[in-house]
Amino acid sequence: MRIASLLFALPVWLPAAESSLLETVRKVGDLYRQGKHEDADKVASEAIAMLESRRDPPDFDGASSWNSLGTFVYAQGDLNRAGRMFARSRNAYLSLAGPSDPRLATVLYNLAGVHVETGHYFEAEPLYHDALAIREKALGPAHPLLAEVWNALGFVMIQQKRYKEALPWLEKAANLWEASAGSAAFAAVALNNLAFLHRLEGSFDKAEALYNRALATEEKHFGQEHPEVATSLLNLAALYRAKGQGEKAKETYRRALVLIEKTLSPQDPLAVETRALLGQLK
Amino acid sequence: MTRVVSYLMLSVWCLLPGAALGQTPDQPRRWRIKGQFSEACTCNVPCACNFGERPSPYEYCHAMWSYWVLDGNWGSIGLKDLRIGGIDGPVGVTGLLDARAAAPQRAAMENIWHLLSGRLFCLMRLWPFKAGADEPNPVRPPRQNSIIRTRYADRQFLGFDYVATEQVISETGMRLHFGDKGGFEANYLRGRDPSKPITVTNHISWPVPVTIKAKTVYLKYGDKHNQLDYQGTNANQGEFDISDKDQGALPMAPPK
Repeated sequence: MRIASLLFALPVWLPAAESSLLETVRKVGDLYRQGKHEDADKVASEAIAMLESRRDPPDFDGASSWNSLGTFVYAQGDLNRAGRMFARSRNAYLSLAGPSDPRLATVLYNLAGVHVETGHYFEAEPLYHDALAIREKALGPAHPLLAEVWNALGFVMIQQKRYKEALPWLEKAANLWEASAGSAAFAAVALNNLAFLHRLEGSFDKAEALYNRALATEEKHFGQEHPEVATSLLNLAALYRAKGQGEKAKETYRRALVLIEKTLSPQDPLAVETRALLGQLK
Repeated sequence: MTRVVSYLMLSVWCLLPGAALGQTPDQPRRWRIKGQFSEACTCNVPCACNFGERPSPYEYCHAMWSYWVLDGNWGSIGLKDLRIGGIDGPVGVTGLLDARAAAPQRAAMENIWHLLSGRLFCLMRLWPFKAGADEPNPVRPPRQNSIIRTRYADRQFLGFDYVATEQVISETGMRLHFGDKGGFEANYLRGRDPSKPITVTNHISWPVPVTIKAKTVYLKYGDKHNQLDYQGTNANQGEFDISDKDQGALPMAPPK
């Protein structure tokens, strides 16, 4: 047995380095949530260095930390690096807990997200199915965590223009989230995606009703002054535009712009983009 | 820093300190805890969540709970008389663990907490995809429209706090307090036969086979994250016996 293995066999009161890693990773999250992104970046570098310096065998701290730091790197837009970190987390969980552990499902979900964001839909889809199988087995057939995978599958299928296949996944996700206490915000996401699907298929009235439901759900959940509400307004405005309802589109874009300027900033790229869209309608 | 293009980020910087316990893939972790469970939430009696329905009268169901381990172990680490609790409040979820525990017991309790209560909060995951308004292109990355996915953290696992936990169970009710943060006191509800409390078997929210239904006298809690102040709400009391072999415990989570 290697020395490292012996160390891991000892209870936690020995390896101070373990808690140091966890504390460091936790600090990254705290700083990020406080909006101190540059500080978070520095601490994340420290944590990554700590992880890199570890030797085999993998352990749960490392597996969890690779995933957490992967999401941080992902947020910075470095998708390839995030993908590598999620892959390390996946490999560690596979080695530690086997292929049925629900934590592995979360990592697969994140890894699939990287593939989606880079347009590699064919790589993403099997990962989602694997995550789904693990969760179905561990959590049963009606757990809200299934809905996020269903939503992701529907989203991927929309991007591939597989609209008919996407519909039941998104409907299932919306229904389950709506029926699950505490999942209102997620239900809004699935309703939004369903609306988009109907819009793409030319069912504008259905799309409008669904966008409005999503919007109402978000306003109820986040309050009326939240940037997430603004993005739903942007989608609704785009629908009005597609329907040829220029005035309603302008009015809705304006509502979104006011909200974006207030909750983000007038210089925010989303504000700039929205002003450009408004300009096109004049 | 690179401008965030489209992503992030849900929940929790939850860290599973499971490493310490000498697990290998071939040696599944052995643990078992038995004891008394006490819980109260913000729903009206009897808490619709316990029956798989939406919470009532509010759209949420915030809860605090404790597993009082009368007999238990995580591998070779004994856990007798320790309490494994938590608060699921408006801001997020905090594990509230017995301050009397020694370091190895703390690690063991944190593991069990995650296995029981924290499973859903356990790993950070990405906020669901929300489509934007652009026409999809099968060979191009999608337009992602969620600001939350881009820039916001959401519901969080807030970490563990070690507190002096008081959990008292009597013939007429129960009381649970987490140090100076607060807690609840509840009286059992009596049925048609006034000598017996009302019980529910096989409910959804908690891995407790039979719970005595109770009603809170007060439910008051405050820390830097979450504040609760209710009375006359639902509570549950019952005996638990959960182990690594009892897979029925896995889907359990605090009621939402």
